[in-house]
Amino acid sequence: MSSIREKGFIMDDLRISVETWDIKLAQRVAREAVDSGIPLKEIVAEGLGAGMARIGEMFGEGNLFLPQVIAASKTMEAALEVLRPYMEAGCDAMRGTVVMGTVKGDIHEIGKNVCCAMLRGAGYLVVDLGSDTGEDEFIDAAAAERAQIVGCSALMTTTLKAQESVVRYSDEAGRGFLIIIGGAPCSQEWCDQIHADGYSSSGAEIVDLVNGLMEKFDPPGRGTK
Amino acid sequence: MSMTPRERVLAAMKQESLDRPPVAIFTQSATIGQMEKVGAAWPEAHKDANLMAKLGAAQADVFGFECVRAPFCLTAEAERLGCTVQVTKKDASPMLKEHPHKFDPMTGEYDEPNLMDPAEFVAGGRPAEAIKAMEILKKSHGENYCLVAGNTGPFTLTGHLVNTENMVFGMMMAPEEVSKWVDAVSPICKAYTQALSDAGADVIQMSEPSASTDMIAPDMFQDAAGKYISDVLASVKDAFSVLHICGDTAPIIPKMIGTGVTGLSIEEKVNPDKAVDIVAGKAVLVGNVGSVRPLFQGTPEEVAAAAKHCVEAGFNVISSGCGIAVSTPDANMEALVKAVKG
Ligand code: B12
Repeated sequence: MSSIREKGFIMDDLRISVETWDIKLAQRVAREAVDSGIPLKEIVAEGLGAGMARIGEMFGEGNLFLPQVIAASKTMEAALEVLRPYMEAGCDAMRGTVVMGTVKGDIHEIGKNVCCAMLRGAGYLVVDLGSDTGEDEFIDAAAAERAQIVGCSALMTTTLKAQESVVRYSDEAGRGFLIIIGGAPCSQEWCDQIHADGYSSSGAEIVDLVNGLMEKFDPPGRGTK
Repeated sequence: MSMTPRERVLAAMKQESLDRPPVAIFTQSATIGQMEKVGAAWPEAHKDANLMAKLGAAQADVFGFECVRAPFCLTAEAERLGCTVQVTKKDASPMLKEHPHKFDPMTGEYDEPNLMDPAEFVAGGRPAEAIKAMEILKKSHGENYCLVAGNTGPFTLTGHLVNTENMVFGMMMAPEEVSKWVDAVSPICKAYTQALSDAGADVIQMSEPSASTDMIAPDMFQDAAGKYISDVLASVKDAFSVLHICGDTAPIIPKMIGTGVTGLSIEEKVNPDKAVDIVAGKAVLVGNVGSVRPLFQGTPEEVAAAAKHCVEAGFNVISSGCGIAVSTPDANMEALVKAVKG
């Protein structure tokens, strides 16, 4: 017996599935949402994304810890997987494209993955290059995906320098995107020093950072020259 | 009558009263500066006992720190157990490339932990070189210096084997599968810890970074890591035990003490005064001059100020709060020694 539920309940369930890392519920309700004709943008931003935003907030306040955040991100990603076939058809569900990766020589991925999940929850198309990513890989992927933003994560003092190289190589290539950086040893001072375009200290804040940059999107290579 | 560095560190480990604490790096201590001065460098020194001993002694021989310490990474055990590790750089730590086991809480697929016998584990690979390095250091420096051996905690090592992110995810979805793995890894950590002690190490400093509050909730600490630390580290015979955890450890310090280890090595994310306050003499405190700032990125003056702060706060051993960054300038290493010794 299948009946059509009210949209409000579906949206609530989407949010709750992420907040309670209920993977099965997330997948089922994502399918239900598509079948009921709810626009993808709403499913992602106001349903799943609302859950992810709440998780991010509680993590930022220190009321939740990493295991819960990972579980929530994985839940959201499982639901996004269900939505994927529909997304390719109508890419307007996306607010912009962000290429993310951990820099060369660094295999720490968990924080970057959390950031990817937060951005996906906020409706961005995120292209994740994984860890140990070379400067060229960032630049090539940004060009291929027409990304507005490139995010570089570094977790070690020894790999901070690689963030600087990404900025330098990109400038040399005449970049058409903005670069944001993050990871535990980074700071706003470091961001300013290497002329990156933005920094945030946590996944809870990355969405605001990217939203802000998208608003005044004017990358070095594309501006008036 | 003056004490040898060895006597001073031993006294500190027993919390005897001293005119000043020893200054001795208990975490990873090698720098490019030392490599160049003693002619033993990464990556070779990660793999060869003689070079490892030479570089491990360099903190004392080159700068006058009051202990010797080896090895220099947290990947030796993982490599021995089948992880692919890239050990090719002079100026960067070894890198884990591949996890040999499947552990996927999303699909519910978990490999069974069929691991090497502990006796076989300690007999080969880089762990065996580290054990040999202790024997060499015992002869070359044992009379005047304490030997500190560093190894990896069972929860962190499990993460190396099955993928840390999946392990942490597993804490939510299938905690019993995580326990099954840590249960299996522990006897190996225990055998390795004891073998390092038997080879001459005076202190075993075990790093368990994946149990930090950045990774798991404080109320998960005891089940995920604490109970194993009691068994594999705190119970070691003929050596002092020190537990190192990074990040803001303030919420878990009482639980770290509860494992029964002799000492705690913690990062500067816990202010030294606050740390001494919480610990209240229930464990030896090792640390906590910041490895990144001031040691790596700061000035000698900033290093001296941070070191003096630790002395005044009442730390028992003055050390870096975490592993020394390999490009830390000589001047900052020197400043740390001078600030404490005068
Ligand atoms: C988990 C961990 C590992 C895991 C990594 C698993 C994985 N696949 O990611 C393993 C066990 C494999 C590992 C290995 C090593 N590690 Co490690 N590891 C850690 C640990 C414990 C936690 C890092 C983490 O995931 N934090 C949780 C996440 C959520 O936080 P985060 O990464 O900071 O991300 C947040 C923000 O920074 C921000 N953010 C992150 N990226 C980005 C990007 C952008 C663009 C923006 C805007 C924001 C942003 O948002 C995130 C969410 O809030 C830290 C210690 C610590 N307590 O921090 C050490 C630590 C980072 N590791 C360290 C070291 C030394 C190593 C090794 C070299 C050890 C060795 N060989 O002996 C190897 C590294 C090899 C290599 N070349 O990369 C050191 C680095 C010291 C230094 N030099 O600065 C640390 C600090 C521990 C220590 N003090 O010794 N490690």
